[in-house]
Amino acid sequence: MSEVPVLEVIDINKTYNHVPVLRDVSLRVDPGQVRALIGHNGAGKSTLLRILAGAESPDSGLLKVAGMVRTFSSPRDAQNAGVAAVYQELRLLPELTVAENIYLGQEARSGVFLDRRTMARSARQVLEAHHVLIDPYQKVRYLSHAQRQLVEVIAALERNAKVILLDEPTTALQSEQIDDLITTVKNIAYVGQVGVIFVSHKLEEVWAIADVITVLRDGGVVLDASKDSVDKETVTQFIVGDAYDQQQQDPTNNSIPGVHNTSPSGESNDEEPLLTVRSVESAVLHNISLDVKRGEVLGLYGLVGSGRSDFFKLLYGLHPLLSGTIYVQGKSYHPRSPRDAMNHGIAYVTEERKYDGFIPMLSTIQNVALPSISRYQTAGWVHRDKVDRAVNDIIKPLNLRGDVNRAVKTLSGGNQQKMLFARTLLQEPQLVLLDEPTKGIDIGAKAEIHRLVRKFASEKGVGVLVISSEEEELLTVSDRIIVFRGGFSSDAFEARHLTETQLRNLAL
Amino acid sequence: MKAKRRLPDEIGIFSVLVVVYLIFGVMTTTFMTTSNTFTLLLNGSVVALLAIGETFVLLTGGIDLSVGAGIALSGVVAAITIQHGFPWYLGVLFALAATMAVGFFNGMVIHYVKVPPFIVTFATMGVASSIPLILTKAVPIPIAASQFSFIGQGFIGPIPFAVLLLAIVAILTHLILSRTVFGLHVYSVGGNREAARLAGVNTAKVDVAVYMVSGLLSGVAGLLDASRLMSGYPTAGSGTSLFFSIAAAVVGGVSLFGGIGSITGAVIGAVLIAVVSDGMDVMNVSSYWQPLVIGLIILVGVTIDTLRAAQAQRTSFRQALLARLGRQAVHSDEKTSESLTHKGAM
Repeated sequence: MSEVPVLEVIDINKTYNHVPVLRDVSLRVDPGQVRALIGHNGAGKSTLLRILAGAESPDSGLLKVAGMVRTFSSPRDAQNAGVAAVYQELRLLPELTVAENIYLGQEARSGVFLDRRTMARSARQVLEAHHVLIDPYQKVRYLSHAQRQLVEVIAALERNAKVILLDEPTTALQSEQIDDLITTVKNIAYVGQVGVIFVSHKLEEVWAIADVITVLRDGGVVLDASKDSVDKETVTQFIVGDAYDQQQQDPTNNSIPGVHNTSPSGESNDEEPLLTVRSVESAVLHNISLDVKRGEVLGLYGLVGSGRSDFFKLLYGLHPLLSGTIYVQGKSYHPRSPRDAMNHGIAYVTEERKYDGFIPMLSTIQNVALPSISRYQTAGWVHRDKVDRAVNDIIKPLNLRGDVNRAVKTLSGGNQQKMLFARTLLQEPQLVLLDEPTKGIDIGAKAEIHRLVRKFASEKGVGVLVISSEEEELLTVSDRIIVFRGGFSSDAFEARHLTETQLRNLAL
Repeated sequence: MKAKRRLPDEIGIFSVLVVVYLIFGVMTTTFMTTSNTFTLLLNGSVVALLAIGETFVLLTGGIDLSVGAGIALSGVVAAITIQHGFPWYLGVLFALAATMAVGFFNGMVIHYVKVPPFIVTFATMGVASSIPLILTKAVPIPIAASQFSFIGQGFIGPIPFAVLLLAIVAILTHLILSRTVFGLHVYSVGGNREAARLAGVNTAKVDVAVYMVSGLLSGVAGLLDASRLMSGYPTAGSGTSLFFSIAAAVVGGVSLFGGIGSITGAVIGAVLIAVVSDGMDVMNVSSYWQPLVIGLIILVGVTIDTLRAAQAQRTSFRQALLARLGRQAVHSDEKTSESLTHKGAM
C-alpha cells in the first residue's frame, strides 16, 4: 500500500532496571489494516501497547501517527493524537446510556441542555453502520462484556481515532461473541479506514482477524509478515523460539533435570498424597480430580478463564464447593473461609498482589507477620522483638532488597513478591497455592523466584500448586502439569516429557 | 537490619500546634498560663475523646457520624438512671452500655448488610439523638449525685481529672493500635480489606469492634459533658462536636481512606482545635468566627491528605503537578502498575 501509514513505530527501546524489555521494535499499521501482535508473556506486548497508548514513554525511538512524529506524555495525549486503547477492564460508565458513553466529553447540546435525541440518533447511525445491534438508550450496565467492548471501540471511532489498540479483547468472551467481535472489528477497520492493533495469544483468532502479523519475542520483533505468506506452524515456531537455546542461558535450568529425575512420583508411591481432590464441582469447575504429594510442584496450565484460578479460590474457601471431596493430609476438608484454609495448612499467594496481596502502607515486617501474628502474642499483645527476629530470619535468604521497616508499597514488584514468599514461609504451610508468581517481574527476579519455589517444595516437603501462563516457566518449575480447559482438568503430565507447543495445544 | 530513625509523621501537625500556641501566647498575656492551658485541654477533651474513637473507625476506612448523638444519649441515660435512685456508677455503666450498643449496631449493619458506613451512622445519629429528646421531652434532667461531678469537674493536684482521663485513654488506645494484634488488624483492614481477609484477618470482628470503641468513647465524652453541667442535656453534642472530632482526626493525619493515621495525630489535631477556639475566646474574637477558622484549618488538612492519597497511587505531588502542566509522564512505577492496568494481558 502506498498510503501514509496511520501508525509507524520506529526502533523503540525500553529498559526496566537495566533489563531491556523492548529492543529496536518497529512496525507499521496502514489504514484499514488489522495487525495482530502475538508473543509470549513477557515478550513485551504489554509494554509496547502501553507506550503506544501514552501510558509510558520509550527510552528511545520514534512514534508517527498519520505521518506526524508524536511524543505522548499521557494517555490523553495519545487519544488526542488519534490513538485509542481498549483494555480488558473497560472504562465505560455503567450508569450512563450507550449514546452518552460514546459522546462523553463531546456531548451534543441544544442551548445549555444535553441533546440526548441527537446523540442517540448519531449513535444509532454508527452502531447500525457497523451492524452492532445495541439500543443507544440502553444503560451500559445491562450490556454484556462483548457489547461493552464494541461500544468502546465505537466510542474510540467517534473520537476520530486513527488507530485502535485492542488488548486481548477476547479473553472474557464466549466463542460466538468472539466471532461477532472479529467481524465487527474488521468491518470498522475497513469502512472507517482506521488501523487496528489486536493483541492476542490465540492463533485461531489471529488468523480470523489479522491482515499482518507481528511476533514479539524477548522484546524484539522476530516476525513481521502478512498472514497469507505464513502458516500457523511457522508463527508458533517464532513465538516459542528456540526454547532449548534459551534454557542454556537460564542458570536455574542447570539444576532442574536432576530435580525432575528425583521427583516424588517415582520413589514414594505408597505415601499418602498431601492433597487429594475428587470429582470437585463448583459454579465454574467440573469434575476436577488431582493429587499433590509432599515435596512436589504441580503446575496448572490453561487459558485465562479456564478455571485454574477458580480452583485456587475454591481451595482457599473463597468460592463455594458444590460437590466432590477434598482431603488434606488424609483428613476430609470442606473449604469455608480463608481462615479455615489457613488452619488446614494452606497458604495462597494471589495473582493480583496489588489488589489483594498485601497492605500497601504497612511495613514489610508487618505484612510478612500478618497471617502468623497469633504465634507472637500473649493476650493480644504483640512481641515486636520476636516478630522482627522471625521475619528477618525468614527474609535473609531471600535477598529482599529494601528497608523492611518501610511501607511495602516502596518495594519493587520482584521484592514485593519475595515479601509474599517470606510471608508464606513464615506461615509454615503444608500446601502452597501460587497464582502467576512471576507476573510483572523482571527476568532476573523471575529466575530467583523459580529457584525459591523448587527449594520450598524439596526442602520443606510441602506441596506446591503453581498457576502460570508462561509455558516455559511452568515446564521449568513443575514436576507434573495439569491443563485446565473450560472448567475441566486433564490428567497429570510429567513436565519433562512435555514441550511448550504441546502444552499450548492441550489448552486450546 | 535496624532502620534509621525517621521523623514521625505527626511532626508536621505538631509543629503547627506549637506555632499556633506560641502566636496566641505572644498576642495575649493570659493565654500561655498553666491554668488556661488546662482549661483549654478540659474544654477540648470531649472532642479529643470523640476523635480518638473516630480514629479507630477511620483507620478501617469507615466513618462514624453518630458520635455526637452519643454524647446526648450517654448523658441522658446516666441522668435518668441516677434520677431513679440508682448509684452514680450504675448510671455510668448504663450510659456506656447504651452508646456501645449503638456502635455494635453500626458495626453489624455495616459489615453484614454492607450498607455504607456514612448511611448507617447517619441513620443511627438520627435515632440516637431522638431517643434522649423523647425520653426527656426535651427538658434537661438534673443530676443530684455529687460524686458524679468529679468526672468533669474534679482535680488531681493541678490537673483536671477529665484531662487525666483523656491522657489515660489516649495512651491506652495508642498502645492498642500500635502494639496489639487487634491494632495490626485494624490497620490491615483499612489498608487493604481483601488482602487482610485473605491473610486470615477476621474482618467482621474488626468492623464491629471499631464502631464499639467509637461508641464507647462517645459515651465517655457524654459523661464528661453531663458531669460538667451536672445534668443530662438531650441536645448535648448536637453542635460542632461531631464535625470537630472528624476534623481533629483528619488534620492529625488520619486518612479518610483508611489504613493511615495514629492516635497521637488525632489527639494533636484535637488539641490544635482546642487551642484555636480557646485562643480566639481569650482574644475576644466573636465565637461566630470559630467554625470559619477551624473550617479553613480542616480544608488545608484534608487537601494535604488527598495529595498524600494521590501519592500512594504512584504519583508524587511534583509529578502530579508536572503532569498537569503537561511536561512529564505520570508513571513512576511502571512495573507494579502493570498488574493493575493490564489484568492478565501478559
